[in-house]
Amino acid sequence: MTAPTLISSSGQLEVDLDADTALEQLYAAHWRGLVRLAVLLLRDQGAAEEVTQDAFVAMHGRWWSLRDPDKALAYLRKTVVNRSRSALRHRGVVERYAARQRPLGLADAADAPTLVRDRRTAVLDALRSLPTRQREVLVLRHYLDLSEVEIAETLGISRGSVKAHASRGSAALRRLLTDRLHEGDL
Amino acid sequence: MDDLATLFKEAVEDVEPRDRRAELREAVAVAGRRRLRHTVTGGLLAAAVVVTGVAVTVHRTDHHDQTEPTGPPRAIDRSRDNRPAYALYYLGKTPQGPRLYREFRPGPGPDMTPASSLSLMQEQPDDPDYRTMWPAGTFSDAQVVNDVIDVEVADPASVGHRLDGMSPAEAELSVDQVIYTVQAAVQEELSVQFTHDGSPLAQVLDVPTSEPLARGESVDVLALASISNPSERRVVEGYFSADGQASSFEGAVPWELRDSNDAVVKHGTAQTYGYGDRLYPWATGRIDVSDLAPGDYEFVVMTADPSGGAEGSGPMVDTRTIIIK
Repeated sequence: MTAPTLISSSGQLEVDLDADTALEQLYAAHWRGLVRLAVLLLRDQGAAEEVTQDAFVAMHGRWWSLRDPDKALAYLRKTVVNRSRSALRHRGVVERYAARQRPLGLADAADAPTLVRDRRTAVLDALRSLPTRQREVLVLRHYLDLSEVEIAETLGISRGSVKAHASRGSAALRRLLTDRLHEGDL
Repeated sequence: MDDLATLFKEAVEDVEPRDRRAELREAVAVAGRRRLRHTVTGGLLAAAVVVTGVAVTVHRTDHHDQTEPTGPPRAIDRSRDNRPAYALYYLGKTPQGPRLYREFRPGPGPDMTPASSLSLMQEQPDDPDYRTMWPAGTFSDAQVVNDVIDVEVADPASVGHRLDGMSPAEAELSVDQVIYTVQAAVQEELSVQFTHDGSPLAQVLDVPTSEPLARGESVDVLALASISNPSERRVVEGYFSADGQASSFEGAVPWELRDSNDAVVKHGTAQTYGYGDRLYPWATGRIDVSDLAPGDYEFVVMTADPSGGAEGSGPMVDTRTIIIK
């Protein structure tokens, strides 16, 4: 008997993961990526870590019905998106956001040229100013590389809505970024 | 990769979240106790079994039940050799001489420390292409003291000078191997002091070490094309995406998917938005493999070679095996 490994239940090995092991493995593989996803949605690293931690706790509690790392990852993404949306409604986040000129943890990247730093800030600011659904669709589409069907499932909306949000969102984002960045930066 | 994907990845690539495993374990344990107020203790593993019920129990084997930890309830079962991955660095060959490659391996326990990371690093790596030149037992401890990682050398006389058969480049790279590995364990770029009995060592492998050392520049030390995802022997169905880091001419990062006969069945080029001064993230986007027969394939990334091989040095390469279902 070899140690159970993190592969899909559709894989060759029988999935033999308990909730704790699944939690540890999913954490090792996806903690950073999911926090980054939440940063794109929230623009606040502290809040992003909170939301992502909550998502992992929720996933652990649901492991009995998930039982599959791929399903668990889909669940984690969905939960991160949903809880980010809730967190944005929370006044504290909004206030912290308003009080802060630059996103936490991004401002002091010593090796990043100024141009890149400005562009990062511009992208996060622009995303933050989009309507929630547009921001979510764009991030799922371009950052996570999800298909229209997967985005529709993650957000619980129709494929048509995904299309509409994507096209309006990307037009709005490009407009915002063109305003914020000098020509040639994009 | 489209421009928005590049901008989004760039916008968060420097976000290094705090390690929250301790809080997570505590939160999970609290949630578990809330769900299972009447369950006999014995760790959250036991709690998880009750929650998951028959579904998991039928997959469990006796093997797992023999070493149930005793003592206070813990959020995480420590009895299994199946732990979060440690990032360990090893020497590997490239056309431009030795470089460091990163290997993820399960650690001995959930509490990743620079000491446990170093003790793993002194074992042989899983990948036969990688190696470590440090004799087993060279390092006896490592800990953070006043924002410096102190690495305790057990027998300074044995590693004060270059070892037999070790080139100066390999000696310097071996020192960086230790620095990169312990920094990965503490997830901070703290400088590293080699010590014995708490006192700084003047030199290790003929490298001056009396002052705390910073890590070597990534473009001078690391392999210039590396894969973060997929992990080794990842099972994929329909499609997969790959990403990693590279510093490659004009930001072009060619990739290939090769079948078991080494024939290239898919290929493409990922793009980074910079190169030369450091490693930049690359991502392939979705690679459709629904038309490929099931089996083992090798995913390969490499640095671009503007001379087309004419200069004879050849690209730096990293590979992963994936299993297409």
